[in-house]
Amino acid sequence: MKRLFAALAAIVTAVVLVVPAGADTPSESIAISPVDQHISAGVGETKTGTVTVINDGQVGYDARVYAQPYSVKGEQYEPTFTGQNGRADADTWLSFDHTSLHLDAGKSAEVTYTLHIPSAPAPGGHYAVIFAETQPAAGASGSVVVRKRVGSLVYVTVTNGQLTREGRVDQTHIDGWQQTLPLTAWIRIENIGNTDFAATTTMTVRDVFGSVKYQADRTVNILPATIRRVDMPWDKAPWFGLVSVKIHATYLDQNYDYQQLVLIAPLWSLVLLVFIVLLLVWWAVYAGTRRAKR
Amino acid sequence: MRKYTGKSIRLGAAAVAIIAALCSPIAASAATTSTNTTINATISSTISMTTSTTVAVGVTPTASGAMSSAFDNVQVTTNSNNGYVLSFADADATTTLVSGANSISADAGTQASPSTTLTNNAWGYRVDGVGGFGAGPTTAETNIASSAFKWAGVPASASPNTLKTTATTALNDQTKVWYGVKVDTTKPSGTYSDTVTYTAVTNS
Repeated sequence: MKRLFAALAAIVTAVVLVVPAGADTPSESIAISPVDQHISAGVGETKTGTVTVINDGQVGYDARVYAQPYSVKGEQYEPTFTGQNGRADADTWLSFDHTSLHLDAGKSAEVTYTLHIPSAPAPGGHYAVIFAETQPAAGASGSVVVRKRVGSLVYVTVTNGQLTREGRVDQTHIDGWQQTLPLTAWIRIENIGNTDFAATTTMTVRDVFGSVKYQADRTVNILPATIRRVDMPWDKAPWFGLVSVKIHATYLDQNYDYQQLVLIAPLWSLVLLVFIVLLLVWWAVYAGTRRAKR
Repeated sequence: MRKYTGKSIRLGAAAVAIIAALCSPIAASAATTSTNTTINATISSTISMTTSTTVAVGVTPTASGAMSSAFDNVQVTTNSNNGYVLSFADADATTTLVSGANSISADAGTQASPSTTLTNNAWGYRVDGVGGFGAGPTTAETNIASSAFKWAGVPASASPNTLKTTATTALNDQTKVWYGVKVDTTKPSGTYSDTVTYTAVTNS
């Protein structure tokens, strides 16, 4: 009997210990589609579109749909959704057919938005984000109550007036000696116009025989009066080798290329190489001296 | 050798003609109705986020202070080739945990410069490998005198902290957000709570 109690106690203890420390409430999930959209319209014009809000989780919830300004901070393009400044003002032009909805698990809802361009905006790009946000259930309590929101970025181009689409490559960077992985290269592209444009960057890595070892491309939006740095890492690069890295950028109607020979080698491997070379030199000198003495 | 008469030749020719007539429409229709169809599938871009609805952190305080922690698993999925940006902030400008008239203040540490340990009567968050939090891995702490990890106060809604930036498609990409609370016996018992908002948008 004692053994039985001991076994039961051991099982209970084990169960208590393996209970994860994470939240013990059911997970909920919210999705939005599309993730971004581009709209061109003239002054006074009205356009409509839709976003789909999806509950792809296992519990139902109430959700809210609303718009906020969208701008970016720094060359890493950290998104900002507060403060209507400059061109981050298109949220005030958006209205929705409904802003509150209930989504049962596995269900989705289409929300129609109307974009009305006011009478006197500056020509060019104006930006906003449409958020779908879960609302905590009534009476939800706990140390931390969680809301989550997913956004659909809205890029509006006001076509009246002077539209300037102009950009340039500000800087390209590839270190000739890279000691740690991933192998990295980056390019900074500046938008000097008044509306956004898309830039496609491609990194191609070739070995010394010219064979392509890695290639990746990425298309990003560059907002007016900003510089965007596009990082292109190769996570699975070899830890030692000599390769040629080429960055190709295409934006508006321009092409740009930059190429650099890169040695991938940790510092210790070079120290070891130098040591071996010195050892070989010493051995050659020593052997030569001995031969001369004989 | 057998000799074929004119009649048998005619019969044979008729039979061949009938068979040819039966077969010919099939061949003709196969030849004249052949067309190519192009199938276009347009796949919309989408981004989704999964988290728990609440995170419960239970603390049994002592006179000198005790702390506990628990995590929320934030999972993001997107088919956008540009990846996503995940950020996080309090739902409003008040960053304290509140229970009626009582409150627990947000830790003074920041994401870039977190506190080396939670101070008494404060709460905070940490994410392994982000800002100055250190690599971790963080483990759950329950009613201990002092945390082994660094913590930062949850930022107000106007100044969110970025938790992760990716540059490719993601499938249930996880970010563990840890919450820690440290209190002493001067704090009245009760459920202290606050609301946080996670935000995920495409990195296009």
